[in-house]
Formats: sequence, structure tokens, C-alpha cells
Amino acid sequence: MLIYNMLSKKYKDKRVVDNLDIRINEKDIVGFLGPNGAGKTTTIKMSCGLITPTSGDIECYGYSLKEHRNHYLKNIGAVLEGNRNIYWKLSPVENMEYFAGIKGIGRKKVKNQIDKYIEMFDLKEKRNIECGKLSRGMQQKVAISCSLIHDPKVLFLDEPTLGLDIHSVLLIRETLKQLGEEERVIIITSHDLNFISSLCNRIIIINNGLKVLDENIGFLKNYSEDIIYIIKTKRIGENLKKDMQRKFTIYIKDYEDTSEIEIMLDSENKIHDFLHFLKINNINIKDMYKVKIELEDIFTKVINNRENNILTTKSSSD
Amino acid sequence: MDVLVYYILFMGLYIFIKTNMSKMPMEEINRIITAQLVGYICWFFFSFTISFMNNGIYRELLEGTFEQVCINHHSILKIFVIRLIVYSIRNIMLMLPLAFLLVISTKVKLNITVHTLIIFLITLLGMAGLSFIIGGVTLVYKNVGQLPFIISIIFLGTSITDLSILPPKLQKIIYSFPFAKSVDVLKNLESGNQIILKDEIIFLLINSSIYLIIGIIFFKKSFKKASNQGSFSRF
Repeated sequence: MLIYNMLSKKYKDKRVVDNLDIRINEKDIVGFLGPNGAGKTTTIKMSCGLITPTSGDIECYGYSLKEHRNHYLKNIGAVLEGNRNIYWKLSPVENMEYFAGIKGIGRKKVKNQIDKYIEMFDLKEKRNIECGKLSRGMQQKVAISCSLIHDPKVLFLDEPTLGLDIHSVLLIRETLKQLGEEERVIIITSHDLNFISSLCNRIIIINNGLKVLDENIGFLKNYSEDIIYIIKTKRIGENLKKDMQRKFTIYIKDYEDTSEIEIMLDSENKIHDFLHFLKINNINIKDMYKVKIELEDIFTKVINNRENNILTTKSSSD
Repeated sequence: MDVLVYYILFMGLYIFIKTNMSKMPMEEINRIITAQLVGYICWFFFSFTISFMNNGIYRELLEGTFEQVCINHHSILKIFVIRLIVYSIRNIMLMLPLAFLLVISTKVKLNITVHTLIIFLITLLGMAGLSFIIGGVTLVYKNVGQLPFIISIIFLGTSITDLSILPPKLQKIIYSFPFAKSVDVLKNLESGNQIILKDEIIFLLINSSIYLIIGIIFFKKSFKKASNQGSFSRF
């Protein structure tokens, strides 16, 4: 289990991570999302002991980063974004041997681990080739192997699919799914929301250092099963708006002389009730179309601070 | 290749001495060459040590592997100390053929005794401390410019100069460096003076210990500072 206990980081006057309070269980694969500058990488780096928190603590399987740094770091592996993470002059096998060595793994165990990850990541043909000569996808696989070589309980992957082709992304996804079935925690940051939604069982979104969403993927899948219509009409008055919001799950956006109504329904038939409501209130429809909620939509809404009826109503009804 | 370059450099110095001091007695010339040789070999070995931490950290930062090495239950200092030990063994392997070549070419005698080894080891500790200080500066500022090179040049200057001709105050300042006194003592040993004063050994031990302790503390504090700033990847 991984516990973030009121974790904060402040640089001069700016709070980049603000009282992060999260509990992550074993076998969770967590998608850690947020816009650029939200504090994701800072959080990951604090979790790896690379940045000292201003306040708060992180606990990994009972070991606190502050009190038991060495035991804590024994249980952590990471692939960091923007870094090479491996030595390009060494081959995949040499990289794994080196990182295993500095983490105190014995020769016998290293051989078994290396064989395991060479097999898992399909690196057999490239095992003795300098990593600098491998493709980006292969290099990333070697980096993930090196981060796993000491069998950490927690694995952090910061943008693991950046710059990879589709085949490599699919292979990494399948491998991470396999790894997620073992007794460990995997935390992934990525801007590839498809990758996240197809792999993770939990989503945490942070913005301006604050946690704004922390839900299981089941919650999000409920959304994708909901039916959403966008209906454009003439500008709606305040009283009618209130009446509408009482009776239906809607979000209204006003423009100069039009209103855009976003209505969420749990069945297709209920649209007729709404259309009937518009008709009896003499509201003409200018345009109407159906949308499907994706993780991207939820992400955008949460980041733009749309604490709207759709999300809060759904949350409270759950 | 390194060995060849350093060999050629010293042979240039040797030819200069032989040419410009030919009117001096042979014994005196041999004594000077022996002193230069000892100083030069020490400089060859210890200048690598001085720049080890800076080069090591800088290279890891450049390669993008520094943070990976830090995500470890062994401290970065421990990892670099072990690397320094291995690196020093490798440098001894380079130093031996260089010393052998120079001894044959210049026809001077070098006596490696237990005393020589003890002084060498004590100096290595002090130089490691100096290297940790420079390493700490590298951690915080990333680029230290020519600092290790400048220190290395100062070291070279003190190694091939007879420090006894310097004014006493300047001598004291020079002797505060971890290499100056030890090279002086080694030069005396090799020029036939088999007696090392107890005071000299105590001075060397204290000097090297101070550098080592300060170096370790400074490095740890620099690591903490860089970690607070979150600057390991800002390169």
C-alpha cells in the first residue's frame, strides 16, 4: 500500500503540490492525470526521494520516506519522463546487471530476473546490443525492465508511452496489465487518455497541486454508458433554467442570444420527456446532437472546474 | 593513450632540466629529476581523483541517469565512493606503466616502501575529500566551469616546485592543501632521506581527515539542498 499523507511542496511562494492525501492499495494501477504544471512530476519525484517535500510524508508498505528512507527506497522503482533512465553505451543485459548491482541484488537472482524481463519485453534479439542503437520503444522497455529488476512493490511510470509507436504502446500496456496482477502498485502519468482508460483501475486528477478527482474506473465507465445530448436553443430565462435543473440533469452554457444545454440521461427514451418540456415552454430547438463521454471529457470538465450537476449528481447518487 | 601523453609531457620537462642544468653536479641533477618525477606521478594519479566526483556527476547528469542512480537505498555518496575505489585501482594500473617508463627513460631510482604506500593512502583520503567538495558544488550548480582544472594546475605547480624556497607564510598556506605536504614528504623519501618525522605523519593524517570529513558533510548538505530545490533534472 502507498499512502500520501498531506504531502506538500512549495517553491518560494508557489505551492506546486498542496496537501495531497491519497491511499493506494496493492494491485491498483493508478492513472495520475493533470494538465502541464499540475504537480504530477513533482509528486512522482517526491515519491522517489528525489525532491524533499515541504511538509507531509509518504508511506510505502509501512515504511515512511522521512523515517525509513532506505527501506522505503528498496520498494520503489521508476521510469522518469525526460530522462534516458538507462546507459546508452551499455546493452540491455549490462544495464540490468548494473542497476541490479547498485540495488544489491545477488548474481544468481539477477540472472533469473534478466531472463524474465528479456522474455517479457521481447528483447532476446537485442539483449547484447548497445542501448543507444535501439529504437525508442526498445529503450523504454529496457528502462522499465531496469526499474523492475529489484522487484519493487511500487512502480512509477512518468509518460511511459511518450514517443512510442502503436505496437510498442500495446506491448507496454499488456505487460503492465500482467505486472498489475502481481502484488504491487503501479502509478502511471500520461497524456494518452486512451492508454490510461484501457489500463488503469483508478484515476486521480490533480490541478494546481490539488487533487480534484479520485475515482475508480467503474465510476468513469458509468459515465460512458450515460447518454448525453447537446441541445442549442434561444437564450433561456433564469426561472425556466431553475425549473429545468430541478427536473433534469443538465448543464447550461449561455451565449449572447442562445443557450447550449447539455443533458445527461440514463436511457434513450427520457430525451422525449425533455423535448416535451421544451415544447410546452415554447423553446425552439436550433440544433441537437448526441455525444459520448470519454475520459477526455471528464478530464476537461474537472480541469476547467465545472463542478456541475452532472459530476456531483452522479457522485452523490453512487 | 593517456599514459603516452603524460610520458611525453614529462620527458619534455626532463629534457629541459638536463639541458638547462647541465653545469650542475650529476647527483644534484638526479635529485632534482627524482623530485620532479615523484611530484609528477603523484599529480598524474591525484588529479584524476580531484576531478572524479565532478566528472562522474556531470556525466550522469548529461546521460540522464543521475536520478535513476539516486533512487536507491544506498546513498549516492556510497555509490560514488565505491566507484572511486574502483577508479583508483584502475588509475594505479595506469600509473605503474607510466612510472616504469619514466624510470627507465630517466634512469632514476624509485623506492616503493611501506612508508611510501602509507603516505599515498593518507593523501588519497584527503584528495577524496576535496573531490567530494567539488562534487557537492556540481550537485547544486551543475556546471563548475574549470574549478577542478584550476585546482589540478595548482597541484601540478606545487608538485614540481621545491616548496622549501617559498616564504614561510606562503608555505603554510600551500601545505593546507591535501596534496602539498604529502608530495614534499614523498620527494624527501625518494631522494634518500629515509626518516619521516612523526609530526609529519600526524599533520598529514589530520589534514586528510579534515578534508575527508568536510568533504562528506559538504556533499551530503549539497545533496539535501539540490533535493530541496528539486534541481537534479534541471541541467
